[in-house]
Amino acid sequence: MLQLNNVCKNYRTTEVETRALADISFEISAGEFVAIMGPSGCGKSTLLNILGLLDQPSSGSYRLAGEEVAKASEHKLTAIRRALIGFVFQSFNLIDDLTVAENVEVALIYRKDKSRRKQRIAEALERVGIAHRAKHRPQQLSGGQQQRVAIARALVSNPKLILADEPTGNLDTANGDAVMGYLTGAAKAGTTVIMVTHSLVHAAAAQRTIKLLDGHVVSETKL
Amino acid sequence: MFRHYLTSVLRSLARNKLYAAINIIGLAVGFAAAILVGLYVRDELTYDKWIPGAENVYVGFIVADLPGRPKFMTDGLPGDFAAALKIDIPAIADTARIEPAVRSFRHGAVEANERLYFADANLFAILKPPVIAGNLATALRRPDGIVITRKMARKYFGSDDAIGKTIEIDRAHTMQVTAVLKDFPSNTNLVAEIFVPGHAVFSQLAYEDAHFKKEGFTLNSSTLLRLIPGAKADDVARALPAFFHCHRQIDPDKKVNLEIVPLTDRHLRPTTIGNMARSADKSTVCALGVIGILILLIAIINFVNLMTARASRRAMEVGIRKATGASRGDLIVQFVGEAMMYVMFSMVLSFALIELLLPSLNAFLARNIVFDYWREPWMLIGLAGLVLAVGLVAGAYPAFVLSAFQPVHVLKASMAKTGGRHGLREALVVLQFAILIGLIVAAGVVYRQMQFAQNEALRLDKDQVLLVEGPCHTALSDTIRTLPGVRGLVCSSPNALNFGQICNDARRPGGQKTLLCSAQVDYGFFEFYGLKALAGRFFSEKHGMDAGSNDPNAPRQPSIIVNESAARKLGFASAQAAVGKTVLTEGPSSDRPQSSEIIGVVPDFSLKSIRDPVNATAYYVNTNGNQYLNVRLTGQHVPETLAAIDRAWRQSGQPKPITRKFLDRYVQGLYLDVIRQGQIFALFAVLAVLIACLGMFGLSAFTAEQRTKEIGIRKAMGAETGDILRLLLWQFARPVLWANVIAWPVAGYLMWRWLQGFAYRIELPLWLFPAASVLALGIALLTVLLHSWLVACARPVTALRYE
Repeated sequence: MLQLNNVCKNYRTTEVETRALADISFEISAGEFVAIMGPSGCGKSTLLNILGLLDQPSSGSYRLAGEEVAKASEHKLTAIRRALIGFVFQSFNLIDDLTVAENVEVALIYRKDKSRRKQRIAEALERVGIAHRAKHRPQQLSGGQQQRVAIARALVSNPKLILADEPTGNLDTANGDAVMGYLTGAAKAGTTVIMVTHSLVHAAAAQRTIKLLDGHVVSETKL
Repeated sequence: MFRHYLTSVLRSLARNKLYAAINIIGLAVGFAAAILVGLYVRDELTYDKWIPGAENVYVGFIVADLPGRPKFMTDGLPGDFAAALKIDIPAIADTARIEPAVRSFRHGAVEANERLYFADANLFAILKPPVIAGNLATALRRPDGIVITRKMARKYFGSDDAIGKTIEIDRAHTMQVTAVLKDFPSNTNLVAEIFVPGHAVFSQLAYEDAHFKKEGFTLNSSTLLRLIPGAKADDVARALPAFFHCHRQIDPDKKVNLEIVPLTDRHLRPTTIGNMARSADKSTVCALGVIGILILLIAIINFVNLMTARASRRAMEVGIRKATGASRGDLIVQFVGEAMMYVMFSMVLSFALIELLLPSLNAFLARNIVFDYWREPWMLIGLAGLVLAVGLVAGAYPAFVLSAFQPVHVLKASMAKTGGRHGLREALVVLQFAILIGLIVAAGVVYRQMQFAQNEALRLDKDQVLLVEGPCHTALSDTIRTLPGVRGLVCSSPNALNFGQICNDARRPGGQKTLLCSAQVDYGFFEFYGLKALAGRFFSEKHGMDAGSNDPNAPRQPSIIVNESAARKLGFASAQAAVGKTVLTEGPSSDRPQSSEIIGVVPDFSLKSIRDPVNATAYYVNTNGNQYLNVRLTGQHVPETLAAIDRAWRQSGQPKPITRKFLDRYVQGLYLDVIRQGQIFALFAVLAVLIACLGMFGLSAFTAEQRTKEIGIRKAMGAETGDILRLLLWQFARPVLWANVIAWPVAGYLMWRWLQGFAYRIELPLWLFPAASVLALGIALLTVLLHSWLVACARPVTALRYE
C-alpha cells in the first residue's frame, strides 16, 4: 500500500532547525492495521501528516498506491487524498456550523461522488450508532459521539487507507473501545489502518506496532 | 488599574497592527467625511448669520402662479413697494432696496468689470456687515460715496487704507470710498462687494424711480426690511395681501402674492430669478447631510463588526481575568474603555485629515469653510458625544456579552470558537453594501443627468462659441468677423439665448390666449447654432417680409419662427400645421394686437437651467439693437484670437472693458450645482467604497482566520484550492447580493424623485442598477480575494495545526 524510504522532515525557524523525522523507512501492505507509538514530540503526528499527504517530507521517498508522492504537486496530493484516504483526528475536527450528516457528507462532496449519497451517509452513521443524531450540531454531542461522527466521515467514502491520530485520546474507556471496534472492523474489511496512539491496550488491536523516538524508528513489533 | 488597561490596549494595538490600522483608519475616514459634510451643510444653513442682527432682516418675495406657466418666485419687488411698505405697515421699521449691476471700475492702471449693488442710502441701517473703516450710517448718503470690501480695496488701492480715495465707474463717474467692509465669507446672499448709492446720477435705481409707472410690474430691485423691536413676521405677513392689492391690480386668475422671507432663510428659498446669490436646493443639502450620515454609518458598522469579531477571540482572556478575581464591572469598563480609545485615536486622525482636505474642498466648492473646533465648544461637545456613542456601541458586545461568560466554560475552550453575533454582523454588512450600491446608483444618475444637461438637452452646437456683450453691425463686429481665428459671427438679443425674458399674451385668430415670449435674432442665427427647422424655413434676407416693419402700429409685423412649445401652446396639431399661420400678439406699446406669420418651427432650445421648461418663444429678425455677438472660433490659436478680439474692442473705443465668455463654460456654470452634486456623489461613493473595502478586508482576514480549521478539514477531505476559494468568496458575495434587495428600490425611488425636479431629464437608466451591483460585488470579491487565496493555498496541516 505504501512505502517510505529515508524520509526526513525538518522544521526551520529563523534561528533553529529542528529535525522531526530522521531517515524513516518502512512498508505497509494493503489491509494491514498498524499502530505508531512513542512519547510526545517523537514525530508521530508529523509522520501521520506525511502519510496522509497533509504535509510533505523534506527529503526521502514516499510511494503510495504505487505512485511517488514525496514531491508531488498540491493538486496531485489533493486528488490522491480525495481518492484513497480517510482521517480520524484526536480532536475530532468536525465543522461546527454543519450538522452531523453534513459533516459526514463533506467526505463525499469533494469526491464529486453523488451516487446514493444520502443512503451512504445514513449507513455510515448507522454503522457507528449515531444515526439518531444526524441533524444535531457537533457542539450538541459528547466527545465519544463526536468521534463516532468523525469515524463515520472517514468510512463513508470507503477509503483504501484510514489514518487515525490518537482517536481515543480524548475519550473515556467505553467510547475508546467502541472507536477501536470500528477501526478494527474497517481493517478486517480490507482497509489499511494506521493509528497513532499512546495506549498499549489499543495498540494491541493492531497487527504491527512501529515505535518512534526522537524522529527515528526504534522498533517494529509484529503481533 | 487604568495603567494596566492602557498597557493592555497599547499592546493589543501593537500585536494586531493590521486590525488596528483598518479599524482606526476606516473610522477616521468616516469621521472626516461626516464632519466635512457637516461643515458644508452648516455653511449652507447659516447664510448671512455672520451679519450682526441679520435675524431681524427680511427680504420681500413675489410668488406668481400664472396659468400655463411654472410657479415663478423672485426676490425682485416693484420699486415703489419699499417706501410704501414702511408707511403702510407699522411693524416695519425700515426698508431699503438693492439692485445688482455690472460696471467697469478703474483706479490708475487697474481696471475691471465688477458686480455692484445700487443701494438706498439707508441700506446699512438695516444690514450691518462688520466694517473696517468709515461710518456705515452715512457712507451712502452722498451720491458719490462708495462702500467696498477689503478685497476690493486691496485690488484697486493696494491696501486696506482706501477711505477718501477715488475710483471711476464706466470711466465717467468719480466716486469716493466712504467705508471699507470686512471681506464677506462665502455663506452670504450678497453677490457684490461694492455698494453704490441708489441716488447716484447713473444708478439704475435712480433711472427706474425717474421713469416709474404705477401700471408697470417691473421686478428689478430687491427690498430688505427690518421689523420694529418685538414685531412678529407673521403679523407683517398677514398685512401683506391687503397691502399688495391696494398697490397693484392683478387679474383674479393670476395668483400673485407678496411674501417676506428671513434673510437667513433666503438661500434655501426656491427662486426663479433673483438679485442675490443663487438659491441652493434644500433637498440636495438634506441629501448631502444624509450621505454624510450614511458614510459615518458605514464606517461605524465596520468598526463595530471588527471590534466584536476580534473581541470574540478574547473569551479565554475573559475567563482568566474572571478566574483571577475580575468582576463583570471591571471587564465592562475594560472593553468599553478599549473601544473608546480606538474611537478617540480615529477622531484625532480625522482632525488631521480634515485639516489636510478642507483647503481642497473649499477650492472645489468656492467656499471658505473653516474648522475652528477649538473656538466652538458646542462642536467639541458634539464630537466628544460622537466618540462616546460610537465607543459605547462598539464596546457593548464585548463588554456586556463576553463579561457574562462563565470562566469554567471559556477555560475549557468551549466558547473560544464563538465568532460573535454572526447574523448581526452579516446584516450590518448587507446594510453597508446597500448604502454603497445606492451611492453608486445615485452617482451614476447624477452624472448622466449632468451630461444630458450640458450636451443633449441644450440642442445647440456650443463648440468654440464665444459670447461678447457688444453692439452689432458696427466696425467692431466687422473687424472680429474677419480675424483669422474666427469662423463665423452672428448677432442676437440676450433673450434669444434666454438671458432675459419679454413675454406677452398671444393667440391665433379666434384662439385661446397663451403667454408667448419673444426674442430678436439676426439672419443666420439658427444655422450658426446648427439647429434644423422642424417645419418651414429659417429667416433669409431674400425674403423681404422676414424683417417686416419696425413700426409697432404697422398692420403686419415681421415673420416669426416659433419653437415647439409655442406651436403646441398656440394649439397647432403639428409643427407643419403651424407654418404659414397668423399669430396675434398683444404688446404693451400698442393698443391693438400685432399680426405675424409663422414661417418656421425650431426645436425647443435654451441656455436656461433644465430645471425649468423652455418658454414658448417666437423669434423675429431685427438687425438693430442686438447686444450679443455670437462668435464661433476655428479652435486653433485660441489665445491669439482672444487677444485680437480684446485689441479690436479697445481700438473701437468702447466705453467699458470687454465682457466675453465661452458658451460651454457658461453652460458649465449654469449647471455648476448639478456638476458639483455629481462630483460630490462620486467622491462620497468612492469614500464609501474605500471604507467598505477596508471593513471587508478586515472581516475577510478575520473570517479566513476563524475558518482556518474548517478549511484544513475540508482540504483533508479532498477539497482543492478552487473549492475553498469558492466557499470563502460566496460567504462575502451573499450579503452583497442581499444588499440589492434594499438598495435597488430605495435608490430607484430617491433618484426618480430627484429627476422630477428637472423639466428636461433622462429616463432612470435601469442598466445602472445591475452595473452598480456588479461593481460592488467585484470590489467586495477583489477585497476578500487576498485572504481567501492565502488560506485556500495553505497546506492542510498548517490549518489543522492552527488551534
